[in-house]
Amino acid sequence: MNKMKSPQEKQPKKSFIHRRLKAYLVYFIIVIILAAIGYLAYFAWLSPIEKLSILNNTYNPKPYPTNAIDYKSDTALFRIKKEEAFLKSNVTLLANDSIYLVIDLKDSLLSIEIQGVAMHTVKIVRINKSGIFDGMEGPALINQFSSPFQIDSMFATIPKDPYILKIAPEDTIQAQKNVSIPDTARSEPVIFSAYLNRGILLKIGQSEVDKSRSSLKYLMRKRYERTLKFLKSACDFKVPEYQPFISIEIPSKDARAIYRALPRNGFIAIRLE
Amino acid sequence: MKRNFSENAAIPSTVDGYKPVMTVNAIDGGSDSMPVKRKFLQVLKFILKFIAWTISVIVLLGLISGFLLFGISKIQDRPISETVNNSSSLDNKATTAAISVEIKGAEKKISGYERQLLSLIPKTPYIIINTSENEFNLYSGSKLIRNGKCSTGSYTILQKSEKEKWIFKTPRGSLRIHGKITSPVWIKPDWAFIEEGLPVPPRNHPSRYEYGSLGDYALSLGDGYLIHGTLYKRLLGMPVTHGCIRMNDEDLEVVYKTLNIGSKVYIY
Repeated sequence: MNKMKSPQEKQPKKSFIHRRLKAYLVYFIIVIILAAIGYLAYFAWLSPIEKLSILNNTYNPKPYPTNAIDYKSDTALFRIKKEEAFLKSNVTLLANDSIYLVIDLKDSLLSIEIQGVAMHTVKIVRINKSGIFDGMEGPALINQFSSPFQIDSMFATIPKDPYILKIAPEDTIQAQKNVSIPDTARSEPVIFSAYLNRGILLKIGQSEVDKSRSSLKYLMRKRYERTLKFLKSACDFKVPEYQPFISIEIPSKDARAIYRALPRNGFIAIRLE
Repeated sequence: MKRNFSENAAIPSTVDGYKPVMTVNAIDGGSDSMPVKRKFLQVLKFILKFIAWTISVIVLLGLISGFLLFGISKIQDRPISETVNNSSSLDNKATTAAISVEIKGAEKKISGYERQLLSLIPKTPYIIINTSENEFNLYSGSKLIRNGKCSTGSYTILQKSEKEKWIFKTPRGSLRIHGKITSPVWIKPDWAFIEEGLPVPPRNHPSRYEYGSLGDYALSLGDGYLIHGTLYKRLLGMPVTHGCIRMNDEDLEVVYKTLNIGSKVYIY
């Protein structure tokens, strides 16, 4: 009886090694995760800095004059230069006959215009923009905003043109059955993202709280896409490209009207704050 | 098969003084409630460990995905401080002079741009139509004369066959009034019959002429599009038309009397 050890007595030795191994494994996993987070955080920190330098290089006058004035050094000059850039961009848009969007970040106004006539103007409820714009050098910032932006692609929670397909009825009885009145009470949350040339993302969303939460799916999908792009670059040991953004909130009915009115490759003039 | 009996005392002895085998086994193992307790504790421990691990994994995954989805944006969207200040290369007086020259130049350009933009606002009356909200605003210069509900294109695609289909959509952009008509008559196109499930009559057939359905006035926008009245007033404010713009009688009269041939019609 004494020679034979019960399984309960044998267990501690095995479990001791097992536990140590497990502890090491846990530490190892934690270290790996922390290292990965650190690596990604470093890239997240680095990407806007690199983008800032790219933007400054792209939009600063070339060759950069040695006696150039930094617009930001004088508030009045910077303000007037921003105004000039906006009006120049606005005047450029008069040349074409299509509808364009004018975003006035200074007076918090957003309007849909055509040939200089504001067709619909709305007060912006909330503005959020990348810190990168504050970090850009004055001349580069002014240059970037002194001509209109063009939309490369647009994504939204609502269809651009809400088409309804109706098959021609065979007879009058069938035609009577086809008669329907649009449901105006139905309201979908309105959020749209316009990817502009020169690498800016313009996000326009409704200011009202989306009680249906259906916009959450859209927002999470966009965030997921962005994260995936970031991770892909990080996996290739490349600094992920940072996307400067301007995010605007306006009432949903205005957002819907603006999204539907704006041509797919329409133009946008932006007035800086 | 081994069974634990904790109530072995209740089992009676056999005639020859032995207790049943099952009872002996139970005695041999000491107090039989111990392994049960141990097993129960082991199971409980396992369950607790499992829960703890699951929670840890969920928390860890949550932290990682939270960082990936939100943390990165938080890091990236921090304000970046200014990096360059070139004004240090100039002395103060020269800088001030250069700044005032820049300001004067910019002010001149700004007034030029503003004049150019102001000149584009029509001096004559014009109308703006919002097809999303089905509303109109009638202006004279920058003064709003009248606004109200209207009906615009329904965005219906009427399909008869692969080749034959019609899209009932109000055109967007800058248009002009091409003509003004009183007591307009609607000459029904083919789609009007197809939509109602009726045979399409030949051209100039009397059934193509409908009197009174367009109201008292109509303003032509070209390509067959009109601003006209309606019999279906309860549908005003809804996208129900075949591309034309419908208004109620009172609004239509004001619009008709205010706008002239050549007046601008802005539709968005």
